[in-house]
Amino acid sequence: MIGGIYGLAALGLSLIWGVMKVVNLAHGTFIMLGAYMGYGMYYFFKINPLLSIVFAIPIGILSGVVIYKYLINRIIEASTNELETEMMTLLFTFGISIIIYGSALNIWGSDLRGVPTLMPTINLMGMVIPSARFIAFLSALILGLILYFLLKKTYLGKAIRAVTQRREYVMLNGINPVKIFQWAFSIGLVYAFLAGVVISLTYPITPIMGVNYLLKCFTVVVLGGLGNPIGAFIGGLLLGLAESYTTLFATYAISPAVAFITLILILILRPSGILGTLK
Amino acid sequence: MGLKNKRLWILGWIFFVILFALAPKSGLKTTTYFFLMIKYICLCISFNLIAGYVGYISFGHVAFYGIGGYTTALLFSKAHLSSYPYLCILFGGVGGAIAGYLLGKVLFKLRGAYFAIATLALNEALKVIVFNIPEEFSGGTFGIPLPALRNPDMAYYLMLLVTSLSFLFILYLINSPFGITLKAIREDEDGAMAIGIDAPKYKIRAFVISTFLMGIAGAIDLQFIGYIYPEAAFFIETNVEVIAMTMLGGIGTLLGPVAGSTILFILSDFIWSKWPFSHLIMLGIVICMLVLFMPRGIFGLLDEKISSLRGKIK
Repeated sequence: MIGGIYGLAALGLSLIWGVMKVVNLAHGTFIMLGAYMGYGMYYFFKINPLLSIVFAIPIGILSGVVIYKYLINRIIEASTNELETEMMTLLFTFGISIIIYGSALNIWGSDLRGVPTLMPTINLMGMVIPSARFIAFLSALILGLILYFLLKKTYLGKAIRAVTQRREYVMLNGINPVKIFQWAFSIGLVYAFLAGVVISLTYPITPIMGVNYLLKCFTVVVLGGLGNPIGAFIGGLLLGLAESYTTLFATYAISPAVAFITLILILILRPSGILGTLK
Repeated sequence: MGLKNKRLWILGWIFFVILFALAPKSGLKTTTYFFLMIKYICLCISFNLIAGYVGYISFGHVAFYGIGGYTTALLFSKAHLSSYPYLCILFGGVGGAIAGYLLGKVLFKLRGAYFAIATLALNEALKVIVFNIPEEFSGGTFGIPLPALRNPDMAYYLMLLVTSLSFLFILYLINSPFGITLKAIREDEDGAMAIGIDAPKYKIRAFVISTFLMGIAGAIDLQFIGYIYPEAAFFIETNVEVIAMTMLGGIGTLLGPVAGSTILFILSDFIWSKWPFSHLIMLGIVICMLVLFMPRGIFGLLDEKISSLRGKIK
């Protein structure tokens, strides 16, 4: 169950990383913001947090366009080589994540919050599942499929994939890669917010959750391969399984370390991921 | 920053060391303030050696600070070494260096963003692991109180000694063949390998020096506070501060980490005491602004200005 949510959380990161080679270290804090959006929806209007998706999409697109067009693009144009671009965007997104994290601490405090799960449990082929968790999994799956079709079938999706492969040819065809990057970045942020909203359904929310989800997303992306929505879901499921089994055989408390150790091991043994398509 | 006036450098260094050495005379509060300042200088020097001279940005460097602290704490409390506190502190640095050697062998197979993420993950993993070790052994969540080790004044002098010596060491290092090799690796690792430089070996050597400094800083901090627990030892915010400080001064410059950490420490301490948690926002803004407008920091910019002026005069 949690695997699907990890998959959804990693989609945005995977897209941004795969398409424009920018590692968004602020991804986790955007997930945190999305979770607070869902929580706020419940807290102020007493309705289902899932409805805050309506807000998450425009806010995500807007912030994505602003951050990419006015900030990250400047950095990419100012730096001379690939390594410098990578380092500078890394530091920049790190700075953004610190700003958001600090603001969140100021506004909401470091308390643990959560949406009470009032929905009943359901019985599915002999497994008893809290329905909030089931809904979260289902919406993660649906949102993931939407992104998959967006990338495969629409003009924008095709352009995004084309830019990833041959940047110069795309420019020859009259497509502005900066615009495409901008959209890809926005979609990445929207998916971070959406993942946050879905997470707020079942899991507790605190400002520090950003770092944890960021690292889990990295693990998932690295497991599944870059820029590959299906890979991200498989990676998410694998990580979810690994964590559940550690909980079963050892203690729950150690399960966060599983993600990090997996991440380091995979990075060293098989940097291109298990599916290993995109280099 | 040319090194033509070595005598001037040494004189300035002696002046500052004496100035800082006077601090413990005026009470524990001042001592704490200056101790933290020197600690950050030390951490920044250590971070700068890897980020500035080898070109690998480590987002989890504070992990080795924690390892050093825990090595000392465990040796002092569990290994019957409590009559030799300074040996324990030295072993804190050695522990950091050994961990740096072993982990460096693995981590330096990665480059750029992958290295950054792996170090970040390493720090979080260590924190969780130390949290969950049974309490009889490492103190778990509660940490280890070591009142017998606590000695703020001695810790202050020790930190001053380590920091000032490490500054001198870096001053010597950057113009030695070793430092020049490191810079070659930073500029073009594949090119350096092509002319026969064993890049992995040099990277790991630099990493060991850097992690030794990190570990011993953690150990001395333990002597100053007399208490260690995972949340403080592997504190991610420390790393944020170190990155911001080094960037402000200028990554890859000699004086950058020293100046950057002094300026930002005073600023962030001031803001923290007025509005708690706001110093994080300030640090984030500083990092973003530096990346956008001054990626080479204060001393990087000064360097550029001076060399362009020289060009005009000629």
